[in-house]
Amino acid sequence: MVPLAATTIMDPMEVCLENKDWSGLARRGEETELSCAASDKLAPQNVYGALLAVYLLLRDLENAKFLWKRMPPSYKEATIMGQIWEIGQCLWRREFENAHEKLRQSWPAHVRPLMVALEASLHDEVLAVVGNCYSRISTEQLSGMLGMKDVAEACRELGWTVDGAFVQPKRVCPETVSLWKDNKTRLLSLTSHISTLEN
Amino acid sequence: GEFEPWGHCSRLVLWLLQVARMTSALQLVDDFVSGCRILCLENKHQSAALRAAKDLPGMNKSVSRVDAAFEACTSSQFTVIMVTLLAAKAKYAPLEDWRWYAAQVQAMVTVADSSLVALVRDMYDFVIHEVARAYMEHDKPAMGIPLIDAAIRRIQPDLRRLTPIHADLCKLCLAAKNFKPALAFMDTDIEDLAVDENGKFDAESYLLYFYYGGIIYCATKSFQRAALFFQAAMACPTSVVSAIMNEAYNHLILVSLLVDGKAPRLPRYVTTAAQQPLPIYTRLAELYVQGSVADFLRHVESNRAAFEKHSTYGLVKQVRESLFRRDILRLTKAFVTVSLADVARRANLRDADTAERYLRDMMTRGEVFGTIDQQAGAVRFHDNPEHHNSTEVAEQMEKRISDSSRTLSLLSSLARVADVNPNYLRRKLDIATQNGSSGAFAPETYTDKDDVDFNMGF
Repeated sequence: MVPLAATTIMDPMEVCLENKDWSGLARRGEETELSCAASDKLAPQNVYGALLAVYLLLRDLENAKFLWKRMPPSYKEATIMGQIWEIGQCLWRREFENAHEKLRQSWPAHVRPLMVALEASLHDEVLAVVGNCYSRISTEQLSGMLGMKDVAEACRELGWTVDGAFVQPKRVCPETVSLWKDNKTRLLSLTSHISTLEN
Repeated sequence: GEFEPWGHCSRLVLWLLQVARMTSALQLVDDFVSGCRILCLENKHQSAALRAAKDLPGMNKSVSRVDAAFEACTSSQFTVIMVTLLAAKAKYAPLEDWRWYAAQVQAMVTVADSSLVALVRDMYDFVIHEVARAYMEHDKPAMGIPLIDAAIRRIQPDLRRLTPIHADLCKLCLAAKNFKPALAFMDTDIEDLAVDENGKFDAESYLLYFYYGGIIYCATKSFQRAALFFQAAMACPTSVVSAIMNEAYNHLILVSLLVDGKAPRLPRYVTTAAQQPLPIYTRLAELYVQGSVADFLRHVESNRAAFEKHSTYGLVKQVRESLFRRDILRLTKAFVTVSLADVARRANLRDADTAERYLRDMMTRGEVFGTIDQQAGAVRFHDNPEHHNSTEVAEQMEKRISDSSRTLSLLSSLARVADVNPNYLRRKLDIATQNGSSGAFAPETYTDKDDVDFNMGF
């Protein structure tokens, strides 16, 4: 199979990348892979790299794993691909310390925004996990999980008490966004439910 | 010897007849196409379909003419002709250039008219099965996915109806390790079967769809859906054993352990004949539910080769992992506070750090509720803090009510159809008479022999 020229394929994906439309990027990547396969061609390596990275960002680890498995061996040997996959393995095993360490490097343009976003989302995820699961955690472990040497500032911002070598986290509540924008639709659907149940 | 004019004449006549037959056989494809073109142009597609069914078996001698004839017929008006020619080619020509055949099938699927395909569904399904098989044989499953996807959508815009070619898509997706195209169909619950023009649906396609679908859901760790699919495979009415159903049952046992923590309880309508799981799986389930962890692990190790041969070892490993989580879950019922070292000891984990990691993962997934105190080296369990008074919960409830209403109205319409079906009423009366009751359907007497004919005409 012959790989297609990267420039012709990447444009719609680059638009998604610039707009930070991660699910759109994933969708475009999947469509590109399939349409190339339909003509018995290989999608460019950058497409696979971006798709793998966006799966990690969306925490769709199962699909990331199968993308890695079906990737041509020549693409797997590329250094960047291997590095992205190593981060995926750390996320799979929930080894936050190692994930941060591996994220810290310079990335090529087609994945850099994704890796920056991944690092930020990893930071938020660790704070959520620690806040929900621990009443007391060692500062050393927290700094390892956050990939930061000094966690005092981060703790102060969140209102977590630092007590010597330990931190007392608090539950991190996500913002709740009500999806009920339209009361009339809501009322209509409730009415139809009640009439079904009563008849 | 002597010159025998009559002998020679008769042999000449026979030879001429043979040549005539061969020529007419060679012309069969051309005759069929020219005849059907007229019918199609006059919108007599039903007659064209009948002629197609009649002429197809005779096309084996003139299959070399198919390519040229096909080129002249690629338009939606000639859907019946296109499908017949492709079926003839798949049936009678050795497919040396399978890519060319696949391109022809692609051309047909792109322009075909779905209402006309319905007249020749049998042949259409055959063509798609053959092209999917070609992709598999030549190790290009990913290449075939878009074509089979389009082929399904061409005949079935309503995703809630199952077609025999759904199974081909699942197979290609499994082979290509790319599941999203199949999941696009599988995530919609099936409510009906798209039977062919004779009112039939191929049982093997039904079983394979649910079996492959269950495997895909296992791969993507949607075990609840996987269990549903394997159960649907088991629910196929039958009086003979199918290897596919046996495999589905083995997988169902493993998936049930992951979802419910116990062996599956099959509904009453599942044929007893179909319930033949392998002993290694039933023993695994027994040990999981009642045995010790050590016995369970020993059983897994000693039968590892067998599990690997069935390609179920991955699932078995996940069942093994869930055993530790189950034991941790049991601790939440017995203790409010427990040290991490104790958790490790009671749940057979390596050390306190491992226990902490397991607890953290389970808390993140919402399987366990509590907080870990690293300074004290202990975990404190508490109740689920969810008060079910958030907008997310209300929306989930609303979705469940909508789905249930939909299922309820579907069941009501099915019941209405059944109540006027003579076969169903006759069976009901027979069973009632056997029981000597006043006419109510008595479920206690329902056995395999009373399998209702599922071809109910809808």
